[in-house]
Amino acid sequence: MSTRIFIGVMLFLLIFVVVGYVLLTEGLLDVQQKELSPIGPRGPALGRMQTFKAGQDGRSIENGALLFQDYCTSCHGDKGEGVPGKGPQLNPYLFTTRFPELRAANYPNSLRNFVKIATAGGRPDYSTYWANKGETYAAPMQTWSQFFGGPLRDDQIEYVTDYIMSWEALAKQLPVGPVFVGIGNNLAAELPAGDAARGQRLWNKEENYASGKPAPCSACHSLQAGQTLVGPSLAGLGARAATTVPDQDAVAYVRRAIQAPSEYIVPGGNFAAGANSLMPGNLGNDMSPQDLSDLIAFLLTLR
Amino acid sequence: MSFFSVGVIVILSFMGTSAYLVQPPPETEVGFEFMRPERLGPHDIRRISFAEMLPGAYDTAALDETLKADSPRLHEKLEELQHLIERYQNPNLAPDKQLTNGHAIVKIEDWLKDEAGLSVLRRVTLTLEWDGMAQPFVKTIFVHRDAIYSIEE
Repeated sequence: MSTRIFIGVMLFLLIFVVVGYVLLTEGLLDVQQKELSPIGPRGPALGRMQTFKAGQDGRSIENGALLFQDYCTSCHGDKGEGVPGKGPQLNPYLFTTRFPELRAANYPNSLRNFVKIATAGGRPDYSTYWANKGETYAAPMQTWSQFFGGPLRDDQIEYVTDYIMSWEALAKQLPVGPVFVGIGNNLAAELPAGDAARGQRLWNKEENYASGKPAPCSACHSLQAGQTLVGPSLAGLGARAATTVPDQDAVAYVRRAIQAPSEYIVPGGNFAAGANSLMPGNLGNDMSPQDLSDLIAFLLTLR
Repeated sequence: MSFFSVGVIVILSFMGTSAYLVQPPPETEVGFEFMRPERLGPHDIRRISFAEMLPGAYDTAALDETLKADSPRLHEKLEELQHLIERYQNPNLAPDKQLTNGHAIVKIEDWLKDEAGLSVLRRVTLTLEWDGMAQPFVKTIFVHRDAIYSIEE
């Protein structure tokens, strides 16, 4: 009898040892899981399960980054930095300001769920982020989940959410607020004196706009007379700008052509689809008033 | 009617098999071999480790010898890519199956870093160019440090 009790106790202890060994080596303990985050500090020795979990999270972030690139960057920028006039900054504003504000207002959900809900269901109204800084957006965010009529499956919503959440660790190191606010379509904004030499450097892409982006003009406009790329040649623009549209001087004509391109379509070519110019109407979003003024000054030297 | 339905299903099923062999354009084939969306192929760039994926822009037609020293496996993968392209430089192929004088530019960028400043996510952009192209073929993937593709072996 005592032998059976002894064997039973030994087997009981053995089970504890085996289970403990598995928990430690497979990385199944909570404390081990917490040490591992896709972009956080990595434990010195990863268990097998931790490695698989990290791999799965990594794949999800990869997929999310690709989806974000395809669907989100046009409004929120390559890395969530926001696009003036199109979409607000996500990184770091969402993490450092917006969500703490929601928490302070007793928002009951987690940050991850907030991101997921906003991604899946869009926003019901216009964003007012930085409205006091003159930031306005063209439209409220659309719905993205197929459940709400958007294009993305549930797993794809999870991927995008994981990618956005992967910014959180570094968010506190980034500046908050719109780094750059372009002149956009604001035709009333006062322009400083233009520098034609800098305008030429912008045209030649030897220098970037204040937003850091290059001037895209030469992709569609040639400076050679009679050469049509997508838009009309700008050769001789300085000579004709003052007389092309009645009541517009040369600067006003070129300015309106850039900031409101559908107002006047150059005749004699296929430069419009219906009443809308083929020239994008948001070019001003990447330009500061100085960029615009310098570019105009350069274009008016073309005679 | 039932014979007709079965016939339609059989024909459509056959057309969906590899035996029917609808081949995509060669640039798509090369892009697929180098960056598969699912299950890595033998030539996939993710066959090499994250650490070996050194950021930079590499032209497969003019590979730098220093890369061979810095990351021999990346150099090897880029050479493989050039060989994949050269498979479509056979004059016996139909003109639309050729990548004459084709070469690739592979750009590897650090996309996301951790708090310690170490890269955790890289963007890899493949741009294929060849004579007579209407526009270059461009394909992008992201690679995460923890994605451990080696466990797919």
